[in-house]
Amino acid sequence: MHSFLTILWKEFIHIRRDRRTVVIAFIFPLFMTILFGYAISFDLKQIPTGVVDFDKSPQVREMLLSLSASEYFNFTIYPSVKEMSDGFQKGDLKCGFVIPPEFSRNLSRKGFSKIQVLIDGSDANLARKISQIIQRFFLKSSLNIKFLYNPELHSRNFVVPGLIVILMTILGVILTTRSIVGERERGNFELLSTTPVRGEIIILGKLIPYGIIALINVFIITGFSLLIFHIPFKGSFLSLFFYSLLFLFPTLALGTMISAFATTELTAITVSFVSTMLPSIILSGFIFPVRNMPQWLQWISKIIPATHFLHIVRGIFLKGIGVFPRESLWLFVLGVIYLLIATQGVKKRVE
Amino acid sequence: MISSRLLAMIRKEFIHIRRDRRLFPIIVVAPIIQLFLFGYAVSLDIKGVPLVVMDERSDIYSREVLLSLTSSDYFLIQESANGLKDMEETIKSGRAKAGLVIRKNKALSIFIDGVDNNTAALIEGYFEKALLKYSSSKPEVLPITRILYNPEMKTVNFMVPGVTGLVILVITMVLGSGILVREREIGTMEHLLVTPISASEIITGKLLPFLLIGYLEMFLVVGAGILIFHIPFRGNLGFLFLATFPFLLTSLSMGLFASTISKTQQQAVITAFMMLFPNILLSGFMFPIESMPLVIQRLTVIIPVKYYMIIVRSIFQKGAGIQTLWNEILALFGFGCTFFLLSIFAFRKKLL
Repeated sequence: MHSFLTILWKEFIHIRRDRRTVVIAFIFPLFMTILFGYAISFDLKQIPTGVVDFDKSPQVREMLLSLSASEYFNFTIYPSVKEMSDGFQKGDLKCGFVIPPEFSRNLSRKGFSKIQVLIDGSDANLARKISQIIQRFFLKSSLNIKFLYNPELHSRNFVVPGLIVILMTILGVILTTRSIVGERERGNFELLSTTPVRGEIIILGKLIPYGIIALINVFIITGFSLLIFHIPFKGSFLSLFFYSLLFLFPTLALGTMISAFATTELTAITVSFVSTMLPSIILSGFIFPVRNMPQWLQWISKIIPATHFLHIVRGIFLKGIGVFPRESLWLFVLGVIYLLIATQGVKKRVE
Repeated sequence: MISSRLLAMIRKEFIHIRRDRRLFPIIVVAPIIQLFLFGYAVSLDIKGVPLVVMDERSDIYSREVLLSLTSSDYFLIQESANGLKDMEETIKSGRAKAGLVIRKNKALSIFIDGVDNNTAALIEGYFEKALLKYSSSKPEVLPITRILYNPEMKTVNFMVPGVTGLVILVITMVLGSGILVREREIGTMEHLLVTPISASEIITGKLLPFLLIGYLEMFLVVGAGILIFHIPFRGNLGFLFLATFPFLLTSLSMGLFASTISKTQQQAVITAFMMLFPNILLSGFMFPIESMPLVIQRLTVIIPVKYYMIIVRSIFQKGAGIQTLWNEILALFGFGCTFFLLSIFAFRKKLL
C-alpha cells in the first residue's frame, strides 16, 4: 500500500511539473466546451440566397420580405441566372430562387404558383438542412408535431452532454499513454522495475491520477452545462458519477493497451488519435447518427466505449433515466477485453 | 540556386526517413483509416426512422396514413403501442425515434425524440412531406428544388476531398514538429551547426523531404477518392497540385514552429497536437462555418486549413480554377511565409 501511494505521489509531481499536461488536462477541456457550446452546430441562419426575379410584381416583393423577416434568408438580387450561377461557383451563395414571369398571374388565377429553388449540394448535410427550412416555409404544414426531451431542438442540449464523453475519452487515453510511453522512452521503467514495487502497482499508480483528472473534468463540464449553457438535467448526479467511474475502466484499459504496443510517444499519439479519438468523435453517435452508417461501421461503433457511455449521459441529462443495464454490461465487457489484450502486450514486451 | 550543401542536407533527411520504420504506418495506414471513417460516417442523413404507432382506429384511414409514411424508405414501423405511456416508454428507451398517434376523430399527433436536434428536424421534414395531404392548409408557393453539384446529396463527395486537407495537415504537422527537436535531443544539432551550412539551409533541407511526403499523401487520398470512392473530379489535377503547395508550406511551417518552441520531441508532438484541434474544428471540414455564430465566423479567417478546404472542395466538386480561388491561395501563401519566417527567427534566436 505504501509503495502504491509513493507511485501515485510521484505521478502527481510529474503532472504538476509538466505544463503541457496541465494544459491538456484543464485548459483544453474548457476550450472544447466553449467551442462546442457556442460554435459547433448544424443550425442555420442568414443563408446567403440569390434571387432572379422574372416577374417583378409586388407579390414577389411581399414573399421575399416575409421570408427575410424570418432571419433564415439573406437575399441578394441577381439580374440573370448566369450571374447567379457564378455566385454559386464562387461559394457566395448556398441557395437561389428563380421566380418565373407568370408567378403573380398564376397566384391570382390558380391560387398557387411554382418557383425554382437551387441549393448548393456540395455539403450534403447543409443542403439537407436548407431544403428542410424551405419546405417548412412553403408547405406550411399544420401537422401537430411535438418534440420530446428537447422541445426547442437546441443543439447545445445534444452536444454539450456528449462532450463529457468525448473529453473523458481523449484525456483518459492521451494522458495515460503519454505518461506510460514517456516513462519508457526516457528509460525510467528499467529503474522502476528494479524497485520492489510490483508491475501492476506501477501501472495502477500511473493510471489513477489521470482517472481523477477525468472525473474532475466531468464535474467542471457538468457545472458549465448547467450554469452557463442551461442544459436541462433530469437525472441524478449520483448516477452520473457512478457511470463515469464505470466508463473510466474501459477508457483507461484502452490507454494501457495502446501504450503496451506503442514504442514512442510520436507513435502513441498518432495511434491514439486515429484509433481512439477520431472514432469516438465520428462513430459513436456524438454528432452523426450511427443508424445510417454502413453495417461494418455500426459494428465498430459497438466496440467503442464512448458509444455506450453517450447513451448513458444523454439518458441521464435529458431523459432522466436512472439505470442502464445493457450499456453497463457493454462497458464492463469492453473493459475486460481491452485489459486482457493490454496484459498480453505487456507480457510479450517483458519477454 | 540549390547549393550542394542543401542537397547533402536533403539526402541526409531521406536516409533518416527511410530508416525510421515507425513512419510507414503513420504515412500510409492513418490516411486510409481517416478516408473510410470520414467518407462513410459523417452524414446527418437518416433513413428507416424506427416508428412506434398508436392506432385508435385500425381502419382504411389509418392504413392509408401508415402507407404514405412507409412508402418512402424514411420510416420503418417498429412496434405498436397501447397507450400514450407505453409509447413514450418506447421512445425513451430509444427503441423508436418517433411516435404517431391516429385518433378516433382522424386527428394525427406526432412525437419526435428531440435529443438529437439535427435528426429530429430532419424527421419532422419527412413527416411533413409524407403527410402533406393530411395537413389542412394548402401551400400557395410550390418550391421545385434542384440540388447543384451533388444532386444525390452524397456526403462522401464532400468529405473525401476534405480528407485530403485533413491528412496533409495531420501528417505534416506531426512529422514537422519532430524536425528540429530530434536532432537537438540526440545532440547532433551541434554537429550540424559547426558545418558551413546556414540556419535557413538546415530548415529548408529538413522541410523539403516532408513536402514530398505531403504530396504523396495528396495523391494517395485523391487517387483513392477517385478510384475507390468514385468521387467525381471536375477540376484540373495539375491546378490542384499547384494550389496544394501553399498549404503544404503553411502546415509544415506550423509543425516547424511547434518544433522551435519545444525542448523535447514529446513536447513538440503534443504542442502540434493541440494546434490541430482548433484547426480541424473551425475549418469547416465537418462542421459548417455557416452555422457558427458571427463572431466565430469572423475568427475563422485565421484558420489556414479553412482556405484549403475551400480550394480542394471547389476544385473537386465545382471544377473551379484560379480565377475563383486566387484569394484563398494568396491567403495560404501569407500564412506559410509568416510561420516559416517566425520559425527561422525563433531558431536563430535559440542558436545565439
